[in-house]
Amino acid sequence: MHNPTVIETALVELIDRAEAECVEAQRTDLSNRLRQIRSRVLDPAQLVLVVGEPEQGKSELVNSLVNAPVCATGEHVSTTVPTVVRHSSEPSAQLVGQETPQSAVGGDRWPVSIERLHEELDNALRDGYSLSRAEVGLPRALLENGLALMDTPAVGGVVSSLGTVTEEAVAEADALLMVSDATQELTTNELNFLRRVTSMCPNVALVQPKIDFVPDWRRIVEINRKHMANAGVAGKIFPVSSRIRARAMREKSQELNTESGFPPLLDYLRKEMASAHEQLTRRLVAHNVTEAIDRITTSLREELNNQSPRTATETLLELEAAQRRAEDLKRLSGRWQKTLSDAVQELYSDIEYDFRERSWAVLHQANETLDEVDPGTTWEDFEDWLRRNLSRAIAETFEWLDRRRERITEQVCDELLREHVRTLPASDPIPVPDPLPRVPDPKPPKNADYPRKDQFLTGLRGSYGGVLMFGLMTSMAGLPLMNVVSISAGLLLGSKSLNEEKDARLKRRQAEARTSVQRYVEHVVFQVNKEARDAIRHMHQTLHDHCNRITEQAQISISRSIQDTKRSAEQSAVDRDARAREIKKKLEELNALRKKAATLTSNRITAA
Amino acid sequence: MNAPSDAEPPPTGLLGQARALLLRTMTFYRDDPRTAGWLRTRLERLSEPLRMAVTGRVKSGKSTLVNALVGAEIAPSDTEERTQVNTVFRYGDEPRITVHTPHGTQQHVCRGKLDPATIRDLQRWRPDEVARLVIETPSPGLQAITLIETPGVASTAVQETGRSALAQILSEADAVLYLTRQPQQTDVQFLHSVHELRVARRAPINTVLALSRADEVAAGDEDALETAERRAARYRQDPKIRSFTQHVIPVAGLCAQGASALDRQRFEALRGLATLDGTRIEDQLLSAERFTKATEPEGVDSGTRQTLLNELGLFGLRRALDLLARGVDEPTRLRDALLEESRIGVLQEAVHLQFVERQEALRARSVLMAVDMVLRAHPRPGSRQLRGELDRLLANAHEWDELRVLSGLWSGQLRLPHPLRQEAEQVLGARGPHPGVRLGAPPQAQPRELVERAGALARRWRALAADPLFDRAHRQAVRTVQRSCERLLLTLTGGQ
Repeated sequence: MHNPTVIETALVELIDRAEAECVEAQRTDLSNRLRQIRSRVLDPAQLVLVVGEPEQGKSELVNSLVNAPVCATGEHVSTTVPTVVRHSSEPSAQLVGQETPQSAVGGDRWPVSIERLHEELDNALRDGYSLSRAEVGLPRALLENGLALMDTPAVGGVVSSLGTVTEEAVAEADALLMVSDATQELTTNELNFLRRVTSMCPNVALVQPKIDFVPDWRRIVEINRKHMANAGVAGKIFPVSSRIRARAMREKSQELNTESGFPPLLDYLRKEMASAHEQLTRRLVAHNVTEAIDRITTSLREELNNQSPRTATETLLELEAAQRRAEDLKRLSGRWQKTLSDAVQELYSDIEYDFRERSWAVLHQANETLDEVDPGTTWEDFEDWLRRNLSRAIAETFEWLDRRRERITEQVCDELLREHVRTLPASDPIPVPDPLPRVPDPKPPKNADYPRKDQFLTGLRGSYGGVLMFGLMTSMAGLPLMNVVSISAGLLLGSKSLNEEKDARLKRRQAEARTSVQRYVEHVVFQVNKEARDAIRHMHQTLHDHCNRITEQAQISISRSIQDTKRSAEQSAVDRDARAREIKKKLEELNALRKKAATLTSNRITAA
Repeated sequence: MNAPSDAEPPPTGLLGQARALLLRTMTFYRDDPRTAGWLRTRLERLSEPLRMAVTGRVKSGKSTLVNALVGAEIAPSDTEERTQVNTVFRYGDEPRITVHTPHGTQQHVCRGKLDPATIRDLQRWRPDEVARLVIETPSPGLQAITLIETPGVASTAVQETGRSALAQILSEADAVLYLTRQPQQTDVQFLHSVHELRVARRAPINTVLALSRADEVAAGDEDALETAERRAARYRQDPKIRSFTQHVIPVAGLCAQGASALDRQRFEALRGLATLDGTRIEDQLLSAERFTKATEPEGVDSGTRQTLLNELGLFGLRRALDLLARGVDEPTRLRDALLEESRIGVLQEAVHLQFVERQEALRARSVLMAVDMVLRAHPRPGSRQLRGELDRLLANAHEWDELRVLSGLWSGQLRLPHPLRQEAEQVLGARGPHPGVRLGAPPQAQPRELVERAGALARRWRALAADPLFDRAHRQAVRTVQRSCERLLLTLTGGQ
């Protein structure tokens, strides 16, 4: 057999050459992919991804494989962050953050206790950390050879973003375990997913858990074998049962373990994967390198075809077409600019009017309320109510503004649609601002309390006249100045003037409160208008930039094509021949490289 | 609520108006025989039972659930998904199968006895050979509602033609029972596409989502259904799912189907199994295969075991044996207990409350959708007036708002304090559509009394509508109730 390191070096060399070709062909996407593969080749771990649709039992499978509850399972959890299980002499766990320019290479790591892994994970996510994965180390014989199992978020669930995480991870996997439970055959979605991922990672096995649950799982397995063959996906199928396996482990029963279907799967992972790591890597490399080369070859072939000499009329036609396109573009950009500025102008006035109307409604209601109640006693409640109503009005206005924003975005982008692919700018919904804290609180009306002493004085002042008047009158009848009649008249008049005074104070308070509310609302209106204007201006800017970018790109591509046409018209036949020869030579080189990549696997297969 | 008859069309209700609009559209298109004929079938359907489509993901237990809902085994189920044909199950005086071909001809296949194997063979025909199967049977379960079983969504067996047939059948059905094991992107996309039409968007009231095969959740443990119920509660709050249905119900169709087939002989077999001691039977129930291959006790042969397993499933078996151990000793009691466990009753109740009781609103919805489709597909001079009429009806369809609020209350999306909630349900017509019932008045109440009651209710709810403590959804709900009160008042006073 070959020396592994020699082979590794050969593989890396191959990748490097292919990568160089990609860079030369200016295909950064391909070269990035190859760089990823390169770091995978140098990494001794064999990454096995466990993928599948929601609630098929992916996490349960990983747990059964390593015989420890390392991945959270159950009704209320769905995996959101991948968990990698690899070998270590002591059980350990750590959380790994997203790689950012500030963090360490490969992301920051926090070691956590393995028993509290799920809690810590939940806490970290709740606190807003963005985690790339959790890593668990376990002392298991299965993992000793560098095998690493990765439990991934489900694909095709209601939350679609999680599926993307998984598909990204597939690119660097050595092998995939697709999980689809044995209670039903594969669906179109699952088959499509399988077909898609095999183009990135060709080593796939299908695991069908829950065979304990259905009597005719054998038939399902047969049907799936057919489905996979029809879809052109090659891979083994392992029907297993975690339930029986758990029982077998508890009772240490060999027979039950055999029945659970796990031994062949473990064997597959241990022997075929481990011993075939080299082969897997070769396949991975071969697959990716050939694909990258194929892509470059196709584009080179196209260029070669374009090298054939052309006639003057062709050139003329092309030039004309390009000029027409340039004119169209000019018209188009005028059109969208007009649409945008019209819409924004309209929005400015609409939004101002809208909020003013809403605030008037609130103000009106407030005035009505103030007519009836004493603001002195109910001021706090009233202030609360006012604030709540204004916040709601603000929220409604901004909701409406956001809807308008969406509509304008669509309108403007529709204008662009005819010529270019319609793309909407990445813009966030407009947040609802909270300007209330910035506005000084409405002043509570003064003289809310009316001290006893003053009340007494007012009463006394009123009663004084009464006593005197009636006392004088009754004194004519011979009674003393202070008699029953005069005192009661004094009391009556005293209480009357007290009431009048109270009334007048209430009126004053109400008037005061009304002015203060009015002023407050004006303030809020001012602030909200300012916020709204800022938001609209920001939106205008974003949209304008977005459309401008598209138009500019189109402009650049048109001018480039005009230049190209001119250059190729000017280019002499000799130059063209030289370029054609160059391309042919390059193609031959690439072909050789491709053959070399292809032998990587075919060699192995004949040897094996 | 009875199916409306031709003799007395309700003059004011939404259905009456929708029907009138349908008739006018028919007259308008009378020179176009195809369109007019299509509209006529829609009109005829108004006097037939409500049509409910049972659809969902592949292998989500559609046939099993049809059987459980009908209470008899008429829909064949199979391990492999190969159904490509829409099958209509409806009430008929004698069992009969009719095959409709795409060219419009009909062919009676057999009469007298229904054989699941024949049906299964017919279901596997290609959709360009068979447009639909119509199976008539005198099951009482079909008297109020016609079931349409469709091929599965995301099925490997169904070709593109089958898919368009699926879309067509969904546009024809008055109500949809959608089955899935757990809602996924495909389901959400599919249901959204069904609700894309304008009329459908205005009234998202015709869908019930069933989390089927709930017995397989959490590997068929004892508390599988409770787990499924909790999961359903979570999906009910998911805004993506809320936008087209307010009912998410877990159900174990197999267990229900098996329970209704439970007879004396099977009961005896189960009792025989229950005599085994705990660990032995646990050993057998560890996996389906173990159970069929077990030999103890001798009274239960492998054929019986196979039947029991196929009919009840592992979950059903476990539950049945558990119930027997707890002293349930009558076949009928065991059957009832199993039916209860399967939650089929909850689903039936939801179907009844949502669809059968509310059929006027649903039928009106179907009729308006049909009119909308025709006006959209064949615009011609003069159709604008009809369109205006349609718009007016759509804007005024208060019945749909009532339904939406009611389902919101039932599913727990809307919360009102207890006495208010009861009153709201009553006014919205949960106990019956008649004004007396809605107002909660005694049956012999005088019209005058009713008017007073309605007035008092309308005042109360108007006051509530101004309560700033309600959020937007609740305020809208309260306004709907208020409007119902006012409408009642209007009908009672005759518009004076």
